[in-house]
Amino acid sequence: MLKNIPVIFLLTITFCYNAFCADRSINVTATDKAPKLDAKINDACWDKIKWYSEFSTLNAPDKKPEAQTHFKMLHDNKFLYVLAKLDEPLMNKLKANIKQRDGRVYDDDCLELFIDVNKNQVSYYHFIINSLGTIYDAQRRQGGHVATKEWDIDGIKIATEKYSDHWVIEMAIPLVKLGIEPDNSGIWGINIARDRQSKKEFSTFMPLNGGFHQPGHFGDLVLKDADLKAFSWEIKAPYAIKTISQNGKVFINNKLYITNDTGKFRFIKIKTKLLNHDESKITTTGLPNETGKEVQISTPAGANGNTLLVVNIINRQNNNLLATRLFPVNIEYSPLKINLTQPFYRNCIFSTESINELKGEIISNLESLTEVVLLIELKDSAGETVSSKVIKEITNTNDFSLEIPDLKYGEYHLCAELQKNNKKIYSAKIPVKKLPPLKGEVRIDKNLITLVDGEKFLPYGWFSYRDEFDLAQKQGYNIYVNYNAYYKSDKKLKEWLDENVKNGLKAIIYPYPERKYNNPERWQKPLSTEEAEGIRNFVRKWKSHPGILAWYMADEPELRPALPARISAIKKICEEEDPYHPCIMLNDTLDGIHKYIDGGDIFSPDPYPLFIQNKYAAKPIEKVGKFIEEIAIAGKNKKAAWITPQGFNYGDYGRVNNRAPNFVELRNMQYQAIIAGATGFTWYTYYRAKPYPDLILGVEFLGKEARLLKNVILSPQKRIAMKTGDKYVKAVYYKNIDGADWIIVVNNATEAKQLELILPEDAPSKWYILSEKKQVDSNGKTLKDRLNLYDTNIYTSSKLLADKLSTASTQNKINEMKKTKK
Amino acid sequence: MNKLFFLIAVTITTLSVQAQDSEKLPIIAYWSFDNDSGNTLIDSGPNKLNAVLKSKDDTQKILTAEGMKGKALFLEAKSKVKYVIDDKKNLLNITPPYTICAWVKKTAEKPKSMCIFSKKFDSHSTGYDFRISWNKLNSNVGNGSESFAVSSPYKSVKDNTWNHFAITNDGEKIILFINGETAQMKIVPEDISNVTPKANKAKAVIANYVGRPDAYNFVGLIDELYIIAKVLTNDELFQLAAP
Repeated sequence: MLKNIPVIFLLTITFCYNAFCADRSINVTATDKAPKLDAKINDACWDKIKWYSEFSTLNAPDKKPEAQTHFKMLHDNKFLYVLAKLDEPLMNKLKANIKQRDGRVYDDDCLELFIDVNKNQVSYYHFIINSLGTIYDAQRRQGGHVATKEWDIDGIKIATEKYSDHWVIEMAIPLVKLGIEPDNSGIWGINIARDRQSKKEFSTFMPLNGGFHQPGHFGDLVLKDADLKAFSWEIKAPYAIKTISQNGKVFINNKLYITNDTGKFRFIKIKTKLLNHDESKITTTGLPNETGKEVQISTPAGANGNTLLVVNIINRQNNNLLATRLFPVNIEYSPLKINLTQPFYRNCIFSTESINELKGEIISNLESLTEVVLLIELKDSAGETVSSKVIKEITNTNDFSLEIPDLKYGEYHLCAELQKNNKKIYSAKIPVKKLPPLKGEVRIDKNLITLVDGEKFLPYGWFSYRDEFDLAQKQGYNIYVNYNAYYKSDKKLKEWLDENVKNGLKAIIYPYPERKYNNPERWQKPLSTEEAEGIRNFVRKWKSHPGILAWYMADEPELRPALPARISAIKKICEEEDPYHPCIMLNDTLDGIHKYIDGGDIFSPDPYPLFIQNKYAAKPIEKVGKFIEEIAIAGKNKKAAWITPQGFNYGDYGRVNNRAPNFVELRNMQYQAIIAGATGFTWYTYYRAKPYPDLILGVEFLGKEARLLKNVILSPQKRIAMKTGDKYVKAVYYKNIDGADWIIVVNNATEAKQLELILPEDAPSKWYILSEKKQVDSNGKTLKDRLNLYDTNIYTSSKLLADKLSTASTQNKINEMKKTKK
Repeated sequence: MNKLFFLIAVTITTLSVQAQDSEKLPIIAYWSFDNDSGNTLIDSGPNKLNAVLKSKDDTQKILTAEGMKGKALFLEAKSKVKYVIDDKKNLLNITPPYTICAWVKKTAEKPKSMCIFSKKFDSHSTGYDFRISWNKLNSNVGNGSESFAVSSPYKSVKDNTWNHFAITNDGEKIILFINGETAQMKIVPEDISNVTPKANKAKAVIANYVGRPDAYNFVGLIDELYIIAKVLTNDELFQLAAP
């Protein structure tokens, strides 16, 4: 059976690992006397404190590093003190170049600390210190996937010293800056790691494979005799956020809900500012103990864009900082803004859609709208009004619909004008196009699915077939992501695109005429006039070829790091020259999705979990779903979501102890993405997948299964989220698609889970598990079942559809192929 | 002997500091509930407006408990006592500008209306009071012809929670503060001639009102009760209230 993984072996490994980790708790004694921070080990404060040591090598937990690291810890309810002694037989090769805070300190010999104060494995703090005392500090959110290095821990004190055969760090970390939440138990998650550059030796206190950023494997830091009550403030994320203008200045207004759990009444000042913005505002209030209060905040804002709101709670009596938090916010101000919802995509009316009304909202952020009316007009290219209406009683957000006649092809403008006493106050306009037909037209509809020539299209394929077109066709794929179009001459590119079409494939390529457009140094600069012209000409030349599906904007731009404005400029050119093909962005961080959100119509991130030999995913496998969910948040439900799942072995790129994902894991990733709303699949990467039967046969099967489920997958708006009672188990329900109801469930845990799902009303009582020749009966109200680790079950009320494919058969083929390869 | 000199020096210093604080604010009365004597609440302000315990039960004594600063006056539900102020000079017939403030912890649901401080007959259009009514901070002022009431928002006062309450009146507007923040502000409307409390002969009472002892008796704790002949700002209230 598919679920025939050596579970007992893996469970044994897990048990031994957990037992070993229990011994790695760090007890931190309270001290009355703070250590003198001079990087000397002989301070009396440290005398009776235990040394912790026995670091192991990253990716080889049984192996000790050549150079060992030792540390001690103390606290005084104000600071966490750390003394670290790093043995170094090659002191003359100690690398110490970085002097700038938040620079690439990890390129030097350094110590890394990871502190999860609320032990939620969702957010933690990351500190890296080199022998010069240079610090890199960042807040890590969303399980470690998002790094905010703009977060700086003010008040941290560091001393370093080099000796003949070791170097020492002594530091004091202010507790108030660590975002301690109420009811903090004083048991935190921790790891300490070391980068030793002379031997490229990476070691860690908690044994790890894959990488240091694994909050699920942090050890326990136990603060003895700690009184953390003073830090017990809960500050919920800002809500009711508006960007407004007041007296010519822009402010971000929002509410905060603050709860005092410190054990005492507190008179406080709430100081808010945007990161890297000097101006701040202070609000005062008094809060009894165990009381929460909603506070209205107004903070001076700078330029539009994503930034962070810093909220500080200060003791009004002595000006001591009591708590601090960072929240991501988006500044988006304009006095008048038009958002079209119909047509939905690119403000274009395509030939495959019939629209007789323009619909949308007009937002005004003006302070006062008394006696103001809103005039809405659609004008043609000659400036003649085609249709108009007046809205008399307006508010900040005004929904509108404007009837339009059957328009001729061409460009129009939708104009909005605020008038007071018949005089214009503000106006705004957006272009609206009525497009002539084009064979092979591709657009995104309001349900965020891809349509080709007006028909639903399920994109499913790979990066880099290396032109094995016939194989790709035979395996049923319909898209081809190719990095290298710009290496081809015009003749070769046409032949290549023709070959795609002949084999039922559509290509996704860069809109660049030459390789140099993709050079790293270019990414950090604005688009030049010459580059813009080059891209425009290239897109114009190829836009009508039926082999084109979309333009590939960028591959992991956050790693370059690419200038968002550059990518937005490229997208604008592609849109203007070729409204018929969307732009695709690939990010590999959650932050990156936000940062480059204006750079694509479709987002297809690559949240690779990494898979470890004889173990599970190195990073929590549920990151796949999280990335898809983030697209909806960052794109405000206006960007289509695809997924670029891991279809390769990271070991082939030099990572030790890595392996390719197996069939169960591949299926998990695909269906996690579907549950989260993905409607397209571009597996990375075909030529690397070929040696692995799981990948070649597994993804082929998953493609067939996806095509069987096409109408389910392409109905993301019909997903009904189901409560599973377990954060590792995700489930969605679909009613009446292809004559059946459907439930997709994925278990992201590294253990089996008992499932009990509450079914909607009128749910069927007989369920068949897709591709597994199994039936599960429910009582009509709940469905109970068991899922093995990483397992996926797709329940359907259609036996006919359930029996069309077989995972067991595919697993058998995979096993047979593995035997022959041996 | 040295110890005695030291003690005297410390006492003089402390009293000097207090004297300086008193001089900064024009205090009419101040009951800290830290130094009460027998059945008398001592006014630590310059006018010695002490308040005497009145109760049907002869054995009733002043009850105190831990307050926000030192001890607080503790009022039990069953006792229904009142503390009547000895104000021969009628200094508590106050006129704007004034501030009345205190730390208050209400611990019972009933009575629905409780007086913290009162110099007003319930139905008369004279005098003033400082109450919690239906979990709202409440100020009533009778100017001789009509009563003017100001209340904080619904459910702005929570039971079993210490809050700092204040009322200021500058003659044109009355502002209620809860924990140093404006909870309500009422500007004198055109149909009310003024909000100056009309002087009356009603006794000034702490934790009750001059009439029936079981109608508006306060249940809970009161600490640091001030009557000041000035409208305090938000900052000044904070300075006064800060524990």
